[in-house]
Amino acid sequence: MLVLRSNHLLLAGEKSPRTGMVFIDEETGKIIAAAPELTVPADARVIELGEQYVVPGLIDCHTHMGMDGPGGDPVGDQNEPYDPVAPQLRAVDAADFLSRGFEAARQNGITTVAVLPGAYCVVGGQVGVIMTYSDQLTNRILRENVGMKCAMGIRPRMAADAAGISPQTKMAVAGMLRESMLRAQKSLQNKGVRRDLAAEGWAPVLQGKAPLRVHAYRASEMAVAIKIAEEFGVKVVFEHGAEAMQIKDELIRRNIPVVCTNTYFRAPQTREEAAIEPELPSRLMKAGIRVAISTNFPEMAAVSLTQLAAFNMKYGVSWIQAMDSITRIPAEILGIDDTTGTIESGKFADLSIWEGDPLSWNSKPVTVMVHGKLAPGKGL
Amino acid sequence: MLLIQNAKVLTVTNGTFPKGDILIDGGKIIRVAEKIDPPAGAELLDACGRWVMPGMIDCHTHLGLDELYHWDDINELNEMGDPITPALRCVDGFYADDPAVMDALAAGVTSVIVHTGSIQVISGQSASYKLIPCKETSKMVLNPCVGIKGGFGGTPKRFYCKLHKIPSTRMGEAAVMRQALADAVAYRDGWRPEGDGLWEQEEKLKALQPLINGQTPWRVHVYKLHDIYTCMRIAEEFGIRMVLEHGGESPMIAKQLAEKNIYVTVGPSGFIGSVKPETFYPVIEHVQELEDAGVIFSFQTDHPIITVASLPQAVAMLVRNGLDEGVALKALTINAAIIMGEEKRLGSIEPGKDADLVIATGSIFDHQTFVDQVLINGETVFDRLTANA
Repeated sequence: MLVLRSNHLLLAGEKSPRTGMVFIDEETGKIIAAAPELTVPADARVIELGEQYVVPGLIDCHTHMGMDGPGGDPVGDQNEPYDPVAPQLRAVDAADFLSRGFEAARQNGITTVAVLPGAYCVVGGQVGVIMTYSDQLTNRILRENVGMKCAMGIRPRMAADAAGISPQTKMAVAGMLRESMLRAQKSLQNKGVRRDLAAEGWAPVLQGKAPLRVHAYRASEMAVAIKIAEEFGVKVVFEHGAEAMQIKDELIRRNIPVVCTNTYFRAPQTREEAAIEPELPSRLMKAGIRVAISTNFPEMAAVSLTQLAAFNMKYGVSWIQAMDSITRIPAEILGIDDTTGTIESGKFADLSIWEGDPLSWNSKPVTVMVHGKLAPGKGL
Repeated sequence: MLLIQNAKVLTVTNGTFPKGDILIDGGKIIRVAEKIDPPAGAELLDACGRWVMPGMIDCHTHLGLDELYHWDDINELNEMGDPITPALRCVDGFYADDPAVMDALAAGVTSVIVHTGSIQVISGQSASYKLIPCKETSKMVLNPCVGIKGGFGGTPKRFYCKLHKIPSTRMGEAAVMRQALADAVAYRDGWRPEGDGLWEQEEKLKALQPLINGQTPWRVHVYKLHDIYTCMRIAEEFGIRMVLEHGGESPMIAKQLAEKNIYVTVGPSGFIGSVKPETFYPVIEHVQELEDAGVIFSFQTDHPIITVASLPQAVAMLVRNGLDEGVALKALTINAAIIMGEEKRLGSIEPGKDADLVIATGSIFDHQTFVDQVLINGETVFDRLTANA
């Protein structure tokens, strides 16, 4: 058994780090126990972390990491340019998990990265989850399908216009989304010998196990997405959600989270982004909406994740809310909160170790532990 | 007259006063000391222990050219067709009421270089500006020709090959650059072009004169080491000064760059995730090597790739991961002023320099710090308490 002890351990359910220990089963990679005080077995290997902070492995739930293709082409591997409805596509099939982005993520305290198709398709494909470290490369992909990436707004219409195909209008965007889900529903009801990969792709969402991950900015478009979700009885998460405050009551009532990507460094590219400002995530958090913070890699480098979360404290958000936005809440959005996102018995030992408070501006990351395996890092 | 009192003064060039006063008159810094007796009639501004630093400078932006909300789809940077267009001037495209001007001030960035594009081998004449909020660009311009700008390496060829034109290769890029410089030298020595488009040809050659005369540098967007070497060879062949924009693999030859007094503006690769293969080298992890070798370098946002207002927080990523805070601050202030050619006026809190100052609640690299007030030429251009939310 492996034991980590630290003076600054963030245990599940607590609002700040404190002295504590984590007992880890090295074979399963799971946490056996995590508490302020535990009796250490004689044969346990103890790693004394002292003043180093131990928090849950950081999770970036909205990236296109490793999906850029060799030529640096802006569309790259993120979207099929001539196939605006492609639920059979899986982002994990495009993501190069050996690419530098993942290494940089690991070096900056991130254990878990969600890879998403881009926003140039109405239905872009399935969201996957990739770990930033493992002893075997074949273990890097954690999940192939934790949600369906969809896009409202100007992007799918711009891309389709360039390709000379639909959707050209918002009506078509909504129509094509509904049609895709209807087809999948029918196909799943009448399963034949021939597999329908598109329907299989939709299945977790249609069964209520995974959400629609909807890229949307305008409140009106989010309202349309909510109606469609209601029609099919599925869960929704909004990506970016620039005008989310305008429909905050709906978001709260329906427990719809918002993933705020890079609200600090971005210079707006389109009019639909106008409502995005650095204060947006904190406004949503203070209104009681679950918010995940993300880099939208490669829009921002992985090193900026903790900064993006920490900015919200400037506007009145608490330390634990900022921490949750890059740990517990993204885990919930990805549907992997049963095994990660907080430090507690039964979950994987996915940990992020820092020289000081990860949300302070001058604390350096030390290393990460993924499924009980400690990645190489300085001073350990 | 304005006396700022009780400030933590980061002079950059003369150390830090834990508690000090700054006297300002006629838009200039007159005196910096631990305690200055208030002159009669002077306005008093009590900093209450807040940090006062020089206004920061972003040496590479497209502020005022690229429009917010449209920069992805409207081209204001590269007049494609002829890869050499030195007669085009940033000042002819710049719009002073770009909302990003106020965003920049609110973050403590007080001056910028605005560049033309990087798809052209020479895209035009870049200009430098103070971010004085007004509608008249003439009030803002520091130098209407602060550099002859262009791109080199992977970028120009990627676009010109789609046009089926030279330069589609790196060899082609070097050749068109060298021909342009050779013609500029010939023009200086009396040769005159013949044939069609004489006015255009002459304007091109005239526009390159400040470059070949050493008045203004070649500011070249370049990443890969072999491309940097090519640019260095060209610069030596024609005796021109050079600044590396982005500079990619420049830390690999830091000593050589210092010896040749070649400046570098680092970023935004590293702040943003790299997509183009030529930008994969993690330059921000090697900035200390530039510092150790004595290279004068600064940082850039390449606004709007990331917003100019995020310049200090972008650099904060390096400070968090080990870059000395003083080095980072120096890069954003006095180094940037040198790279801009305005080190006599900007970049430090010293008597005789412009009173371009930032009053903040803490270190500019701390994400919890608020910029409370920004002065340019001794006048308040940003006040957080009265700014619109």
